[in-house]
Amino acid sequence: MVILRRLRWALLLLPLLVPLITSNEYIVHSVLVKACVYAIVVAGLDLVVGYNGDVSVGHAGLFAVGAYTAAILMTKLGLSYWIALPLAVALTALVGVGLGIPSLRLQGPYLAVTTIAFGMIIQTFINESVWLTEGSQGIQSIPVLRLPGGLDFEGNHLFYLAYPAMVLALIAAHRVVRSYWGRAFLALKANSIAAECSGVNRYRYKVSAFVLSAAFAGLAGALFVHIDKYVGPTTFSLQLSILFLIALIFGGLRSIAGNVIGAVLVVVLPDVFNRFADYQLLVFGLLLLATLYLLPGGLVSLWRIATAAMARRSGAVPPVVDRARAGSGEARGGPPAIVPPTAGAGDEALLETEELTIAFGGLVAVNKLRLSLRRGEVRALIGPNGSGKSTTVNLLSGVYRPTSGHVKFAGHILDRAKPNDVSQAGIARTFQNPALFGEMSILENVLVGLHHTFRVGLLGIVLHTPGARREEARAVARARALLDLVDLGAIADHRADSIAYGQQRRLEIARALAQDPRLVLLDEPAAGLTSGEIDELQHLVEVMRDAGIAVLLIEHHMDFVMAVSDRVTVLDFGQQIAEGTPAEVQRDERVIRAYLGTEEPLDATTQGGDRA
Amino acid sequence: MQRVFRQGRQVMMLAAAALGAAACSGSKDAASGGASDAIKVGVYGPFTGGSSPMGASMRDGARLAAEEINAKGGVLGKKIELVERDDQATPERGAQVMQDLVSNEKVVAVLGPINTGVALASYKYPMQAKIPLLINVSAGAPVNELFKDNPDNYVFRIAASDDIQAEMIVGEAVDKLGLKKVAFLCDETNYGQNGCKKMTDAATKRGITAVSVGKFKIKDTDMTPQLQEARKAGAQAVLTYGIGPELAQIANGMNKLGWKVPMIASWTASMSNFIDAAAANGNGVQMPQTFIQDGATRPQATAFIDAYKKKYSADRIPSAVSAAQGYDSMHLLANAIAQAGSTDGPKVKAALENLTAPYDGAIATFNKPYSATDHEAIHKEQVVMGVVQGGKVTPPAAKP
Amino acid sequence: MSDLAQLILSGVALGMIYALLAFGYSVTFSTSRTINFAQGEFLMVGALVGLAMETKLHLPYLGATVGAAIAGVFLGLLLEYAAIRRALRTGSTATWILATVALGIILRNAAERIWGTDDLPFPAPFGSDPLIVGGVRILPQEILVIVVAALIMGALELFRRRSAYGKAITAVAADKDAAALMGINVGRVMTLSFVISSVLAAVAGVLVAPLTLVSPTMGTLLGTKAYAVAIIGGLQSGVGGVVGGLLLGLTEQFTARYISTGFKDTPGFVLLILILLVKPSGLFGKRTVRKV
Repeated sequence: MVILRRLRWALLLLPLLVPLITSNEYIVHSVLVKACVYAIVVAGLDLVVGYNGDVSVGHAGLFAVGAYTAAILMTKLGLSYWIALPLAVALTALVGVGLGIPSLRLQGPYLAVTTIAFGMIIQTFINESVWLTEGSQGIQSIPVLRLPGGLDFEGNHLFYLAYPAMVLALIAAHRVVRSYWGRAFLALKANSIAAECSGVNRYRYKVSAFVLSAAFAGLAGALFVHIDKYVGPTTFSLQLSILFLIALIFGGLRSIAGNVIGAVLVVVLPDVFNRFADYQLLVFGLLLLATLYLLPGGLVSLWRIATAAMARRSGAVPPVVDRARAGSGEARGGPPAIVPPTAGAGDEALLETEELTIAFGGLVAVNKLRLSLRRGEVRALIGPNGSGKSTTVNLLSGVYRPTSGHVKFAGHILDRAKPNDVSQAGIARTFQNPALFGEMSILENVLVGLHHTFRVGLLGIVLHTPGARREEARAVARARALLDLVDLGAIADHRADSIAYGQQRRLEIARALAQDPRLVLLDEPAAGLTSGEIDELQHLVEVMRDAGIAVLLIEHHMDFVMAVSDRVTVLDFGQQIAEGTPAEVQRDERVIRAYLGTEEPLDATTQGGDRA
Repeated sequence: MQRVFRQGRQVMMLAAAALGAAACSGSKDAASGGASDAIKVGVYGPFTGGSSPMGASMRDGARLAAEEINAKGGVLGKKIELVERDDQATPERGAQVMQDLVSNEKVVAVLGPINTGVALASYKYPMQAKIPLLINVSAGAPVNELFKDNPDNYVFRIAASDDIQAEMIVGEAVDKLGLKKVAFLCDETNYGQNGCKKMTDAATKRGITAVSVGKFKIKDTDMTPQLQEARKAGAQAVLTYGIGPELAQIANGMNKLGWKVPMIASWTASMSNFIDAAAANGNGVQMPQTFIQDGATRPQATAFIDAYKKKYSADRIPSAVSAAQGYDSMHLLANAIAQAGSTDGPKVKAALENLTAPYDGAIATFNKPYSATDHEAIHKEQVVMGVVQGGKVTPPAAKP
Repeated sequence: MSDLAQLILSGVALGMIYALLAFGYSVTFSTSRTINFAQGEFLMVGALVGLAMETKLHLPYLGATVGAAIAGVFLGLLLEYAAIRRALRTGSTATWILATVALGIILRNAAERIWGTDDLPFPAPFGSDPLIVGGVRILPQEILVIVVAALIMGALELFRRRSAYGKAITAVAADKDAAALMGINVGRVMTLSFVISSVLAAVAGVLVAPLTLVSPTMGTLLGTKAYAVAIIGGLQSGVGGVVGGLLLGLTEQFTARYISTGFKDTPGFVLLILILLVKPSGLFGKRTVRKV
C-alpha cells in the first residue's frame, strides 16, 4: 500500500519528462500546455455541471477575467506574476459571486442565460475599456516569466508551470468533491428538496460551487496569458464557452481523468478535423449529440465499462459505488447511532402550531390547524385522502410557507424558515415517496444527513488537514452505526437506487436520525411494507421515542397507528376534527363519519396516493 | 487501498498517453523530414464563420497561383504543396495552427492571415523558426513596426496597411472634397478600431477632429442611433472602417434616415456582400483599392479574374482584393524561393528583400517590393480610390 | 423631437422581433421547462429558406413566409425528437441545454455549406424606401414587423386561452401528471408547443430579414438577447415576453444614442441581473410552488 501510494506520486511526476523527450513545440507548447490550462477550466466547470446539474455557458468570460487581470497587473502595474496570479483568481471568484447570487435563486435555466449574457458583456467591456485593456488590440507585451535561478518558462518550458498547476488544481477539485461539500452538491442535484430537508443550504452551496468554478477559470486564465503572450477579446467568445462544455461532455462528467481527456481532445480535435475542413463544426455538433445520448458518461465511461466487464469475467464483484470509500478502516461500534436530544425548557410544548393555514389559489388545504407535541411523544396524524396531512408535513418542514398562522418549535418561530433551517432547528422528515440520492451510496445518503456535523472550511478540505480527516472519519463511523441500527450496514456501499423499497424507507429514517432531530416527521412510513418490515418499523419508532425524539406519524395503516401512537389527531378538509388517544379517536362519531363519507373504513389498511 | 490503486491506474494511463503522444511525434518528425518532394507552404485564415468570405477567397487565390506554378514545373524542380489550416478567426486557434504548420508540417513559409488578432498572437512562431510570413490580407498587423524588436524580421505584407487606407479615406474627405466636419463610424473589432485610430491620426495631421466617433458590433442590424448621433453633430461625411455587411447596414440606414452625405469606407466596401446588400444605397460609396475587379485594365489582372472565375465557376469573387493578394503573395514567394535557390528560411527572406526580377501581379507590378528595412509591398502609389456604381466597383476615372 | 420618435420606432421594431422569439420560449418553457438554445438558429433557417423560396422558386413574400413556417414545423419536430424528448427522459438540465446547443451548431454549419457564409440581402416586399410620417421616416418593413408580430402573438394568446389545444397546453404547463390523468396526450401537446415555438422563430426570421441581412450567423445575437427578454418578462408569460422585448429594444436604442454606441448591448444583461435580484420570476411571472 505504501509503495503504491509513493508510486502514485511518482507517476504524477512522469509527464514532466515529456519536454525532455520531444522538442516539438506544437505537441508541448500548443497542445499539452493548452490542454493543462483547459483542464483546469473544465474541472471547475464540472463542479457546476457535473456536481450541481446547472449549466454555465459563460466560462470563457470568467476565463477572460482571469487572463486580463493577470495581464493588466503585470503590464500596467508591473506587478510580479506571483502576485498577479492570486489576485486574478480572487477577482474572478468575486465576479463569480456577482453572477451566481442573482442567477441561482431559482431553479431552472437561469444560470445558462445569465452566463451567456455575461460572456457577451465581458467582451464589450474589454472593447470599451481601452485605457485598461487596450480594447480590441489586446495586450501584447506580456513579460517572460522567469524564476530567480535564471530559469524561464518560455516555449516548451511553460509545461513546467502549467502541468504542476493543473495537478494541484485537480487535486484540490478532487478533495472538494469527495468532501461533505461534494456530497451536498450531488444531493442537491439528485433531489434538492430532500437535500434541503437534510440540512443542506441549497442557495449557499449552489453559489459556492459556481464561485469555486469561477476561481478555477480565473487560475486557468492567468496561466493562459503565457501561452501566446497575447490576450485579445476575440479569444473569449461564446464558442470557447461551448468548447469547454464539449470538453466536459466528451471526457465524462464527474471524473478528473475525464476532464483531462476532454481538454486534450478539444485542443487537438480541430487540427484532426481539418480534413473535414468546412464541415468540422457539423462533425463537432454530431459528436456532441452522439456523446450525450450514446455515451452519457463520456470517454472515461468506456474505461469503466471495460473494467467492469473484465471484473465480471474474472468473477470479481465490482464495488457498487466507487465513490464510497471513506473510512473503511474505522473501528466498528464506536459512536452511538442516536444522540438523544437534551431535555430542556419548552419540552412540554416542543411543537406548537397556531392557526396554521395554507391556501393554493382558492383551495384551503390546511385550515387553522392547532397541533401540539411533547418531547418524545409519538403522534399520529390521520385523515382521509386529501385531508391535508402531507401538506401539514410540508408546512412543518419548511417546504411550503404558511399563508397565515405560526409554527413554534422548541422556542423558535419557524414560519418563514427554509427547510435547511428547519432541519437545523431539530425537525427531520421522510417523504411519502422515498426521496433518496440515487446515484450516491447508502452510506453517503446518511452522511448527507450528518452535514450539520461538519465544521471544516474549504481550505481545510483542500489541504486535507488532520482536522478535516478526523471529522470525516467521525461522521463515517456515526453513519455506519446508524446504518447498523436500520439493518443496512452490510450494504453500505451499494447505490441507493439499487435497493428494495422497504430498505429505502429505512434508509430515509437513518438519514433523518443523522440530523440529530428532536422531532421526526414520518410521511406514510409503512406504505408498501411487508408485515415483517412493519414490525421493524415499529421497533424503530419505539427506539426514537425512548431516546426522547418526538415523532409525527402520517399513516393509513391503522393497526400500526394504533399500536405505536401515544395520541392521534384526525384531519378532514384541512381541519382538525378530533384528537385523543387511539381508543378515543376510534370511537369518535365525526371521525367515523369522515371516513365513511369517503367510503374508507377506519380499520382498513389503505395505501396509495395521498396528494393533499 | 482500492482507491489508491484506481487513481494510480488512471494517472498511469494519462501519463502513458502523454508519453506515447510525445514518442509518436518524434517518429513523425523523422518520417516527414526528408521524404517529402514538395515544397510545403502554409496557408491560414478563417475558412468557416463570419470572416470566411475573405479567408476563403485568399486561400482560393493562393491555390490558383500554386496550380499555375506547378503547371509550369514548380519551383527548384519541386511542386508547391499548400498546407491549409482554418484559424476560425480566433487568435488562440491561429497561434496553434501556426505551431502545427511550423513544428509538424515544416512549411518553408506561411501565407495569411485575415484577422489582426490572429496575426498578433501567431507571428512570433515563424519569426522564432526563421520562416517568412507573408501577411496578405490583415491590414492592421504590425510589420515594419517589428524591426524595432527584431532586426531579423521575417514578417512581410502584401496588403494596403491601415496607415495608407486611413490616410486616403481622410484625404479624400478633407483634401479633395474640402469637408471639415467628418464622423467616424468603426466596428468594435481590432480591425475597425485600429482603422479608427489611424483615421484619427490622419485627421489630426490636417488639424481637424471628428465631430462624432461611433461604434458598431459585427451583426448589428440597426444603425439608427449611431447615424443620428453623427447627423446631430453636423457631420458632412461618414468615414467608416468595418466589413461589408455592416457597412451595407450603414448605407441602408443613411437612406432610411434620408441623410445624403458622402460615405467613404475601408476597402471591404468593395466586397460583394456590401455591394449586394446595399444595392442602390451603395452607389457613390468610395474606398481605397489595390485591385478593382470590374475596372481591371492591366492584362495580368484580367487574366487572374478569368482564371479565378473559370476555376471556381463563380460570377464574382467574394472578396476580390483578398483573392488577388492571396494569389500575388504565392507568386512572390515562389519567385523568392527560385531566386534563393533554396527553401531555407533566411535565404528566402534575403531573396524577398532583394527580388531582382519584377513580378507582374494581379494587383500591381512589383519591382523590388521589399527591402531589408521595408517589408511593406504596397505603397501609396499602388492604392487608388474606387467607387461603387451600379453593383460594380469602378476606378476613379469612371466616377460620374 | 422627430429624432426621438425615430429612435422609438426603431426600438419597437427591434423589440417586436425579440418578443416573437421570447414568446416562443414561453410556450415551450411552460410545457417542458426547457428553453431551446438553438432558437436563434431556427430564425436563421427560416430566413434562409424564405430567401431560397423567393430567389429560386420566385414565390412572393407571403409564399416565402409560408415556406419558412413549414421549415419551422420540421425544425420543431426535429428539436423535440432529437434534443428534448430523449434528454428529458434520460438526463439532467445539462443534457437538454447541450443537446439544443449542439443542434444550433449543426444547423449553423449546415446552413454555411448550403447557402455560403456571406451576408445576403433579402428583398423587402414593400420596397426599401422609407415612408415619411410627420417627419419620422419609417421603412415599410418596420411597420410590417410591428403589425404582423403583434397579430401573431395576439392570435396565439387567444389560441392558448380559448381553443381546446390551447387549454391543453395550459393544463400540461400546470401539472403534467394531472393533465395526463384527464386524458390529455402530454407528449403530443409538448410536440405541439415545440412546433409553435419553432414556427414563430422561423417566421420571425422572414420578418426581420429585409431589415437585417441574411447569413448563417444572423440568429445568434438575436436569439441570445431573446433569452434575456424571456427571463425579464417572466419565462411563463407571453405578455411578459412582449413587454420585455419592447423594453429591451427601446433601452438598447437609447443607450446607443445617449450613452455610448459601444455599450449598445449591455442593457440586456443589466436588466437581466436586476430583474433576477428584485423579482426572479420576471416582470409578469408567478412564483411556482415546488412539488414534493
